[in-house]
Amino acid sequence: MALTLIDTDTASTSATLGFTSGIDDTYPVYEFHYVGIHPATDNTEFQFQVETGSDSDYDHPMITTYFQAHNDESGGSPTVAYSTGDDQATAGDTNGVFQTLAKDVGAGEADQSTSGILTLYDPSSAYVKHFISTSNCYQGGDTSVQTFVSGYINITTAITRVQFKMSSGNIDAGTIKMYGVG
Amino acid sequence: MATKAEHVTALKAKHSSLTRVVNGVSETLSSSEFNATIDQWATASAARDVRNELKANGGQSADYASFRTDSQVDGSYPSIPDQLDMLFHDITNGKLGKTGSWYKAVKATKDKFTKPE
Repeated sequence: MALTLIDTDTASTSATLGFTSGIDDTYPVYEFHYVGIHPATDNTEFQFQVETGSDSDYDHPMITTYFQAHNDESGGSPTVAYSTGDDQATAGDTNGVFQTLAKDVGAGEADQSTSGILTLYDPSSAYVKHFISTSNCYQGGDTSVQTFVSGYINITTAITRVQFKMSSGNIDAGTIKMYGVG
Repeated sequence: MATKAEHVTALKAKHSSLTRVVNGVSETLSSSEFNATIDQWATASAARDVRNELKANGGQSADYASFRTDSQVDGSYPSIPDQLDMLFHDITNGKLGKTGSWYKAVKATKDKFTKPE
């Protein structure tokens, strides 16, 4: 399996980072490598959603799970836990919300950020589309958090667009590279 | 704790325009996209203010279960190993009742983050 770089988005105080071309049936798997995503607003969520055709609503239903392992700089009370507030089980074609990939991303210090990989499987299939992401996040409370998010996007139309954003405020810095895997 | 309207005012004072990056190219949001984004950010910020207030001080919330079980929230349930250790010591000390450490710890969480009536 080889990775082929399709496109790169570099944030520069940007509201969203997105890819609206290059997602088709050329590859069975697409990977989005997000590196050093640093928000403008402290303790906000890094999120993604998808679209079909040339639509730009980014509101498709997803059934997702979210769990995390965290440890803080003092080394106190490391824990693994499911996070009920960060998953979604949305239904109806326009009722989906942006799915959080990493929460409480720090902005107060220059090196606070999140990095990880979102893998999207067979976006052009006529069935639901599966995804998995793993991120590590340097949170505002000086905590390291590994998050594991997965689910399926509950639509049977081909996905052609993917967008990333913070829950509030700009993405100050960071890059996202989109690769085709085949 | 600011309201959504206060967040909208503050965000519009801070940003005269917004940009996005699509396929490697930066572009400016249209006026309607700008207003929609500010509205979305203000909604998220106001919701976060409410959540932070509840996290800090507790209270009644439909999301009480997520506060009780979020290990990053002060006052959430102790970890399972810690709870088992409390039960061990409560049994050893003959305090497997309302005076035991496990009961008190769990009750403190339930009392801080309460279910809507």
